[in-house]
Amino acid sequence: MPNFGQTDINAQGIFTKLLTSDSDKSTGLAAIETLMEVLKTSDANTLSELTHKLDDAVGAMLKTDYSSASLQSASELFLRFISLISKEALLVDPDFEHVKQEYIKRGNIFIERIRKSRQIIASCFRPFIRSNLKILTHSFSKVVLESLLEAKSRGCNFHVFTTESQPDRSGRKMYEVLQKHEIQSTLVLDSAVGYLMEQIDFVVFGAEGVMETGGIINKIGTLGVAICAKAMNKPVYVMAESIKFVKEYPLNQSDIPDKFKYRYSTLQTNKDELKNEHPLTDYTPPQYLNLLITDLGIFTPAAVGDELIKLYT
Amino acid sequence: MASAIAEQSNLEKLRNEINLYFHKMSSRDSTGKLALRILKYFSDIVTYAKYKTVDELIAILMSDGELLYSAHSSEFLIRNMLLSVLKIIREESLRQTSGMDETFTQTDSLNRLWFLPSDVNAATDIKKIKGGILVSLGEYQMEMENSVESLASKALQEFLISEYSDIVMTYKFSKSETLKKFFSNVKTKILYSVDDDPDAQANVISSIDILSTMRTTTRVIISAAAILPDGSCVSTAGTLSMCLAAKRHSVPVLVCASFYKLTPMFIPHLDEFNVHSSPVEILPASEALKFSNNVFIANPLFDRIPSNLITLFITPTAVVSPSHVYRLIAECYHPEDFRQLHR
Repeated sequence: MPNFGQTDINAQGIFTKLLTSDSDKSTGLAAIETLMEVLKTSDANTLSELTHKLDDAVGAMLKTDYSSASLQSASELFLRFISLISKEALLVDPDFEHVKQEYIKRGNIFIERIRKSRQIIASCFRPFIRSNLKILTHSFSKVVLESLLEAKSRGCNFHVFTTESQPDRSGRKMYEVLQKHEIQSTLVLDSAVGYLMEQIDFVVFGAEGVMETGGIINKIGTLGVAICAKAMNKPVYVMAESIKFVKEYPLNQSDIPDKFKYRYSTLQTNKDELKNEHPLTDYTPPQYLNLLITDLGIFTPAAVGDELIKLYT
Repeated sequence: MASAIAEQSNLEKLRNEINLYFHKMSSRDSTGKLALRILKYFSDIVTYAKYKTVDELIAILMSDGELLYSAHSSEFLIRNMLLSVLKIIREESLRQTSGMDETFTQTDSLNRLWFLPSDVNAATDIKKIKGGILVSLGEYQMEMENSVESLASKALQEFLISEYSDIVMTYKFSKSETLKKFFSNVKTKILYSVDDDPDAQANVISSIDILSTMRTTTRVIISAAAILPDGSCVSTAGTLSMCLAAKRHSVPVLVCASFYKLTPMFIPHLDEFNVHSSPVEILPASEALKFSNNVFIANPLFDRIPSNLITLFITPTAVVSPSHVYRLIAECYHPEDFRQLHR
């Protein structure tokens, strides 16, 4: 019985340690690795106990202040797929240990695949980048960063404009990393996007979550930049790993679940005063997006719903 | 040893023949003829090359296809034909091994992320499969030859292009086989064609009249050289202005194309793939001497028409809106093949 409390703390501890020790790691991947640890070290004896423990771990991770959208989608996908064992394997040997080993094996394959997803996205993005392009990006996205670095290492010369992205000024971090790798970049004010848009060749965003509509949830301000790009006929590309696909269907901003908009700590302390809180994310509908570049391939926003249906059936 | 040399010389001969064909083409042949010729090339490889397993055959075709493709990198038809042939081969081998006639699409979706590619192709009787493949390729060739007729008959069934009220505008009617057959089946009240050839079977207008004629037009029908997966298409140069005019006057734009024009590759910038034909067509060589060296004459053959300007794509088997083109592509080609081509 005292075990439950311990798993909670363990999951949170492992998760936070993974993210602080390796700043490049994506939240989704860290969540999956944490679940893998919990799976390996759990002393459950039945399947339902194991599933319960894993659900608890997910709940514990959601209580940290990291991006909730990608955490939730990654965990759900992970849990779904390790349990997708073929019926034959179960009938042959319904021994719990065997099933657990099977889970661990499938989990490892999943993790290996997800680790490679950013590289796959960077290689999918190759034909889009030529020399002397002006690219606009919003806030700090590790996927976009990796694609840009990869293009630079191939010798492409381009100029990146990064918005500062208040309130946490994460765009500044992006700017510093780009400067360190000698990519020409400029840090701009969030409010300067309209002024700048006529010179830009295309806009590229990361995403915290990709919705079933084909729209994305991303740092606040994304919607404004996307609308501006659409008005001036500039292509908008989104890069996201497949673990960020979420089975939600928002139709407007108020449809975004609160847990995606605000940090967990904010939700706990200010439950009744949420309308005075600034949301951290916004929803960009699919009509403002041109293409989604994922490790499953390049999709139009209309195709995302199809992929999700394939996943959940 | 001798058979290996014989095989080499066979393949070499085939390669030389196809390269000569491309070389001899002074102006780009109609897409249909080109596609048939390329299909013949790949079928010949299937017939003459030596291989023991389906995997080996796929590897040979891939390397030959890539060789041909790198020599003529603006021809996306080569890739399309290669992928179609590979899909036929995979289907055939699957049919032979599983014994069933069901073809399920193994798309790279989330829940198949970690299904390691099955070695179905490995242990199968190659002679039986080879026969099956050649039969399928023959059927495919016939489908291709009849594609324009089926396109036209589909138009008759699905679209009520009325003889009494529809005014249709099209582009370079006399140059496109697809459109010629299409309009011989479909009668309209008035057919306008933006054309250089004054003898075409339509009311010829010049490109400056596009906007004014668009006011009275009810439909625009064009043909495409390639359909891209995001729903945009590559078409004859000059078509873009017609589509923009159509958008301005809210006239639906219908694009007719056979299924071998479906390209699984995204082309964000057409400049790298655009074929330029001779500048002499625009400025005769005698006139060119009058200008100093500062003049660059561009004579591109193709335009890229973005998906928001197109209303509907008509293929011989399906009628789709631009946002669903990706589904057609997933049906026509096997994802394992075009994943490697994402370069």
